[in-house]
Amino acid sequence: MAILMTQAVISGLLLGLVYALIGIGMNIIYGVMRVVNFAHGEFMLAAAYVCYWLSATFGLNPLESLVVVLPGFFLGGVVIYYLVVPRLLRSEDPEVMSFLAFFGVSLIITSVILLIWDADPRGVPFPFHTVSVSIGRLFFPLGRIIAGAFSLVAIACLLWLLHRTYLGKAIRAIIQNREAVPILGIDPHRISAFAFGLGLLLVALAGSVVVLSFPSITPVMGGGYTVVAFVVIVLGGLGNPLGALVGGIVFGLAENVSAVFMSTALSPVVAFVILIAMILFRPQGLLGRF
Amino acid sequence: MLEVSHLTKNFGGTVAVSDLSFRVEPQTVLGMIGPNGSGKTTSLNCVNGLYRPDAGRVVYQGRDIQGLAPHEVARIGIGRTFQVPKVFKRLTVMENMLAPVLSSHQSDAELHERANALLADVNLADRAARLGEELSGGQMKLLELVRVLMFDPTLILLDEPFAGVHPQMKTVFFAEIQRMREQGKTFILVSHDLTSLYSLCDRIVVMDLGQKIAEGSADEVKRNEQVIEAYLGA
Repeated sequence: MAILMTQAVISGLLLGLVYALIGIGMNIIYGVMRVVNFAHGEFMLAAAYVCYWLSATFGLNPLESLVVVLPGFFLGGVVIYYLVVPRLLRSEDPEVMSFLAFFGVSLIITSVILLIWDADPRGVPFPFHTVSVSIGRLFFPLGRIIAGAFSLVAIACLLWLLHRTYLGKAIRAIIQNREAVPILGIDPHRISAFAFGLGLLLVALAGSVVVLSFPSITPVMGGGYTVVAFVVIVLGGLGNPLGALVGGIVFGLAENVSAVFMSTALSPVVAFVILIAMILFRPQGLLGRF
Repeated sequence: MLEVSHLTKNFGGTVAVSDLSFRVEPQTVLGMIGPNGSGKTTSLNCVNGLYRPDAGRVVYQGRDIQGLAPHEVARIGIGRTFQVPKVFKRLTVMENMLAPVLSSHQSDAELHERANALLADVNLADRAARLGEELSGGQMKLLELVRVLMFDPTLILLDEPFAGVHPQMKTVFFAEIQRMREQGKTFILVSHDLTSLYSLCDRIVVMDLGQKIAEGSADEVKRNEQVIEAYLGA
């Protein structure tokens, strides 16, 4: 039992780091703009499909694909920001309007994926998919270890950026008080566009590393990842980038550890019970506001 | 330095500011008084770009600044504080001070030295490492005032700087405004604190129901019948 628990906790931590990476991009975007990116999971899935295409066409593995995927999604994010978000921010209720607008974007992305790659599941080949690492009597798929490590490094880089660079400090300032930023001479749109690009870069990274953990992708998986992102950021704290790390780990642990005691079919239920309890008793999330 | 002419701002069917004109000369303090809802803050918001006026012009140092975004207005030298101070509560006091100069080419040491000197002027030097949320309401207002100075504006718009501030802190505010004025700064000061306003301001604009009903020196507006009526309802 102890071995099973240890296995579940470490697997939960690795999965939690990936979940954190999925949520953190959504939290940056929500924190800076109060924009609810309901297409978050679809953007992530789009990145996974681009990885699949780069693999099928040029033989690149998902990690090699990052060289193309990350700058592409960052620039795409900046363009989408200027096309869509300033108009949403001028509306009377940006949160609801953005929710609806990005719901539309999620449908568009799913349709485009279906159009290009049809509905069949696709697999992204990766040389380490079948390799496991054993530590004593514990076994971990190498793909998940690499995915967890990438997530950890990405989150560490993000925290460094937020606390040590001009743009990062401006992002922290705008998350805390959007109205105060322009009166100090800082262009909120420039910071927001960077943050939106950063959010999509992070979600693209998540899409690339998720195919290391879960190699098979289908066009309708995006909604599930959007829900994961929502759960993670509500657990950790809406708009708090560090909260996404905590929320992701709690979610990953809840799923994996509960699977030791009950059917795996029920393990997501535990995570959602924790989510509902959080909304009822600590709506600001574990870490609260940023 | 600043010339506002025929400024008008409506919200739906409500006229917030109507045909307002005034001038602010360099190194002076222009006071704005008026009952609640008379359009004082709306006027400031039109000057610093938060609101786009429906009519009229705002000319700053010979340049029509209408249509500029708030960050562009700040960059050409117009600073602003608010009745409810917009302090970054989860950043330290020093990080708050450095926020306006994030992209500055000055060295960190120079910026810290300047920030420390300004904080010392308003007795906040020992709070530099504290979070913004740990300050009292009055200290937040003082922080907002000296934070604006970090980007060295020429004209500073102060919205109710004395509201809800302890009398002792009000003295600090007072001294700081006078000191900054001697250093060449120009102010528009919106306040309900008539005593402070009368002693600080060179000229005073009196507003009621979105319109300017009087303008002049403290003595002139004190004697103005329309002003007395607006304030006392006599």
